Amino acid sequence: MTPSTPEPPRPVAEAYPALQRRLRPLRRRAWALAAERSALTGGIAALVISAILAFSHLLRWLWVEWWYYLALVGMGLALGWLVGLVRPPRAFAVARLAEHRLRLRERLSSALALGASQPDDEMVGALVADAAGRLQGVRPRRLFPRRYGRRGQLFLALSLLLGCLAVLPQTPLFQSAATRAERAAMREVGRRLVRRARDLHRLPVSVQRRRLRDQVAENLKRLGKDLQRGRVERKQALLKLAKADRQLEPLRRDFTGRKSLAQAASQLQKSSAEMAQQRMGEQQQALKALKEAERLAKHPELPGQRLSPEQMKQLEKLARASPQSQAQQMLNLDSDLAAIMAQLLAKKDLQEALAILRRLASRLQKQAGPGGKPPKLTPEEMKRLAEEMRRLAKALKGTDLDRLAKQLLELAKALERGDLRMCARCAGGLGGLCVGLGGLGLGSGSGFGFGAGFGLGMSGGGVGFGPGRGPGNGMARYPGAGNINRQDAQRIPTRHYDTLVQGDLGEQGDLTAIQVLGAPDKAGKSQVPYYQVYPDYAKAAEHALDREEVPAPYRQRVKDYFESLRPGGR
Amino acid sequence: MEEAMARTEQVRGEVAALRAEVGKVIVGMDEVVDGVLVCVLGDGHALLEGVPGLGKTMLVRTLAQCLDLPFSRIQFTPDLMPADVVGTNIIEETPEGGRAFRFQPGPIFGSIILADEINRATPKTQSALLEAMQEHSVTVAGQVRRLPEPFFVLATQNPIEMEGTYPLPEAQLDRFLFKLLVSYPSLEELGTIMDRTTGAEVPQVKPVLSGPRILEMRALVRQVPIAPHVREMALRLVLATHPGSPAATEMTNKYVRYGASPRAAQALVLAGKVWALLDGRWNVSFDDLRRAAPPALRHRVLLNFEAEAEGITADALVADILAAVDRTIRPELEV
Repeated sequence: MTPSTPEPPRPVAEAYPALQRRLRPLRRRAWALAAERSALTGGIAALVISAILAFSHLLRWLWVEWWYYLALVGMGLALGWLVGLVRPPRAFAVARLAEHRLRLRERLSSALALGASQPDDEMVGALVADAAGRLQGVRPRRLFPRRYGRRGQLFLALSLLLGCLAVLPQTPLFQSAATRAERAAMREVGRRLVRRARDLHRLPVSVQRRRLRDQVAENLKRLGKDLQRGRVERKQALLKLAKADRQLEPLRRDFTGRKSLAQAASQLQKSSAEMAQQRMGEQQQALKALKEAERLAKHPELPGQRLSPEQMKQLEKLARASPQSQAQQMLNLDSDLAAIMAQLLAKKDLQEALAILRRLASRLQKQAGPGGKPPKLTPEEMKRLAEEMRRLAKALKGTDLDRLAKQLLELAKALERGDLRMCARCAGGLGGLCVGLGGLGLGSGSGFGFGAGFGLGMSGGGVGFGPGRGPGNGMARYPGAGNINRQDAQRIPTRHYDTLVQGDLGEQGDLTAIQVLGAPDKAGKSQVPYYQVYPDYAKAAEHALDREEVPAPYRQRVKDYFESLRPGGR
Repeated sequence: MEEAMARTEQVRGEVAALRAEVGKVIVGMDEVVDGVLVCVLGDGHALLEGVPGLGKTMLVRTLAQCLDLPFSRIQFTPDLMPADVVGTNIIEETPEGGRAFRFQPGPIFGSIILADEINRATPKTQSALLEAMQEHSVTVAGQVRRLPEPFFVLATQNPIEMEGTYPLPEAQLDRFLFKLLVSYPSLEELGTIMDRTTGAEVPQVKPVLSGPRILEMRALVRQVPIAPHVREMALRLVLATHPGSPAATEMTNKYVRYGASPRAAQALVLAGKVWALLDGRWNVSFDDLRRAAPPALRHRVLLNFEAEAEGITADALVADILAAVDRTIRPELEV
């Protein structure tokens, strides 16, 4: 056994752990500060993006909610902070910074670098001990105070810029007279909405509707306050009002006892089935009677009442009659009109339902033979059609399409009377009403008033606003449906009212003449040709479209509507 | 560890005493005195450049007296021959009546050599110093003769009166650790000089350090550690003087014909170590290298004609390089 020589003392071994231990709190502090700086960098990036968005918003290139900015900046800060957290600074880097601040002339970094690689060097030992000694009593917070320098200044400057971009345009000083008027109108609407919300909150409703009522009331109140404070733009207000309107639908029905479209659809479905059954029964009876009459005719010895040749022809016709309904035949539909309407109403596809009725009105107007043309419809066909119209009217009565039901009933009466002139007129009225209802955004929750460039209405609530000048401002949805309290609407006082006037219908059922009358009488005759007013209204609509006052989903519809009205067009 | 600290403190004390002793005679010239001391402790040679009468020779003489070392002064003139410097073999009669060659050592065989106005000698004579300065030995008649240790050459040259002078070759210049510029004294310094030199009392200095002690100090200097990142700065400084290299600055590429040799890096590190030790540190800092860069690089950078035409000095170039390298060594962490 050879005697082992004692290991020489290693000078670095004593001081190096102390050095590392004293560097540890510095490193933690530097790490936290680095994460904060990284967060600031993320925030700056987010602020730059927000400023660009705010600028785009200012130029109306896109719409940005105010809280998007907050969310974006918050996300930038959080992301930057996370990035900083996952990148801890190296001890050597912290030592470099610490010695730079403490003016230690590379003592710490040299000690760290050499202490690990030359543990037996006496001079390195002295260096490490010296470095560790100089770190004693150093307070991390004092050595690395929280200071953000240019980064912080940039952050503040960008925040200020964003604030200016987002807030300054809202101040009256930077707004045009029209905008200020619009804001004032919106504030007024906001006040009214708050009052309405209060009223709504007090509205006695069934227990199961209470939660909905309170929720809608709360939404309206918030929207009203936002409008008062100018925190919401017109388009947003429109969309929110439309949403509130949709939410109010069940309450309104409960309150007014109105029938829903779904109920009408169900009734139509039932009616269609009954009609089909009835028609089948009639056909079977006629067939039976026809067979009996033929049997009697072949056997003159048998007693019984003989039918006249006219009666026989009638029975024959009845027995061979098509099982299809009259409207189905006229429109070449796959199934019964009532069944189709039931399906469309159930799907709330009012546009398609109105288009079918428009086509029916067009065909009827032609076949009723106005202008001296011979009529094509027989009295029986007219009666059958009248029955269908009556059933349809019955189903739609009491819904939002009450006005349509009335028009259908008028048509049914004219058909029953066999008054061809009246039939043609009622058919024209029906077509015009369909076009009007479809063109006015039926089913969308809001309508447009073109006299004012843009108007906003809320059914039931009856609020509308806009600095418009002329009729149409504040027009609510479902005009004429009976559930609009127009008295509450914000309208510019005028003696004009929107009235749809019947016109000639095209091949496809499209309306070629529609007129807004001034001071109309009940008869609703046109006093001003539409081509005289068309340019003004089309211009107002284009202006509204250009200024993006019309929400995107409705723009195409507005364009199509005016395109269809263009004089000389289809 | 304690021993290292004690030795360091001892060196600092002795150098402070040496400086104080030199300061009895030499007024001002702190940078030059410090540079010369760095050369002494760093085992290098110094080239002092300044107009006549600024005390260059006086400084060397005083230093020699303080160090208690053999001192030789060689006045370089155009007719000075290499043999006059290194010595020669002479024929001598032996006591037995015969004749034999005997080596007669030249003035180079001293510890502190003052090569006064070195640029006045011919290149042939100047080159006699090459071997002595680098290898501390001379070869005469095929025989290598060691020079006494410590061996230290202090050369002076005059930047004016250039007629009849021979600029030192690059190889010669490269062997000087530092090139120190001696400038005019300030008003106060000049006043003190007048008082000391025109009065009745002549300042006397006494030896403070011996040759062996200087050798010990040199050994200690070489033990001072240098961290990799600090060493890297020295290397970057040298590489930045090389035109066309990735580290070169725009000024280097434009005005430098040839950059510094590896001896420059050695000079920087050695000087850094000396300054670290004299500052009471056991590590070389960036500041040490910054301080060493001008005297270590200014004579090793060969400027081109364009630089001379535009009045660009080596010092301006070194300052530019220092600024460029400084940007690369900033702490990477910012909080």
